[in-house]
Amino acid sequence: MAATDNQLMNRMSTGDMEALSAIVLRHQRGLVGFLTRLCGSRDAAEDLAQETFLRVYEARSRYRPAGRFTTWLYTIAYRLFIDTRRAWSASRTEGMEEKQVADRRAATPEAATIERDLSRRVRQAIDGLPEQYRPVLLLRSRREMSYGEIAAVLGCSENAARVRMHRGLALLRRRLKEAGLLDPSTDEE
Amino acid sequence: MNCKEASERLAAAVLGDLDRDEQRAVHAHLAGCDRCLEEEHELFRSMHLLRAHAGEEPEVDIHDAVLARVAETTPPRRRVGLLTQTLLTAAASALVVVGLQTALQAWNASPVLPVSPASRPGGATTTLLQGTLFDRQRHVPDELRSLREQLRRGDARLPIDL
Repeated sequence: MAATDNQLMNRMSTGDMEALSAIVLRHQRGLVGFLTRLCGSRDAAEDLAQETFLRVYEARSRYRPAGRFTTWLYTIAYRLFIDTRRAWSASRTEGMEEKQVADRRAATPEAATIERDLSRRVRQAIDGLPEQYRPVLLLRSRREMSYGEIAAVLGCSENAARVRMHRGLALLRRRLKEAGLLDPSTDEE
Repeated sequence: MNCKEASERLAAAVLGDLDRDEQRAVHAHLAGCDRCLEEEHELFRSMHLLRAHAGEEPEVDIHDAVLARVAETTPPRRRVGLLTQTLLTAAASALVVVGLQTALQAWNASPVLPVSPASRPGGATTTLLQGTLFDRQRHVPDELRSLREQLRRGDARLPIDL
């Protein structure tokens, strides 16, 4: 059975570098995905993710498994994002990842093209949302965090996290509808 | 519940964040309102698109870069051999023992003003302990009182001029 995050953190605190390696391999994709949607830049997201793991390593002896490890990890990442966002706010790009993801999911080249286009447009709609809604939507829908955990990551109250989620989803629906992505014809199933 | 009230609660309903009564009220409204029902379907589909595309983890490999950065920031540990460690521990222990012994000898060798055993509580036991660390701690006030008397009478002098 694979070691839990907390077990890996315990091992890391005794200087076990393999534990750090396992933590990075386990969380790098999720973290870079989250940060890419916040930053709008894959390069900036990778830099922030590296910095996040570095902070995790530096804080290994202070880590106390009070909640889920991912809550702590994403709290560090989100705070780094807040601290550095001015530096890259102008560099929003759509990178290679869309092509790779679409190609992986689609059965044929034509389907891959359609999938890629859909992904791009959904991401554009999300990127166009006000910043207060984006992280809540991502943490709730992708990381399946509770409102309490989201509140801990964002440094707000649980109720504020819940309200932002409701408003963010309502706003996203309007944006997707305007983009023509809510027609039944765009269904993937 | 009217359309405005229902619309305000639809996102919460889709996310399962309403209490049972509110959820029931929203569903009752949806049963008779196609426009709100369509909005509810759109919210479900929005959540689906969000899950499917928003956080889709790209191919990422920052593993080596992270480990390289950690190695850069972590100074290499100096390895101390077992023999060196043992010698250092032994030397430290010897120093502590010698220090303690010297301090005790110096303390016991210092002059003790004579105090009559009969005047002390404890009698014979006190006499046996006279001159030891225990005795000095217990009777320092007596000695100070005696020295003060001697100074007053002019029988003793302080080693410095005030």
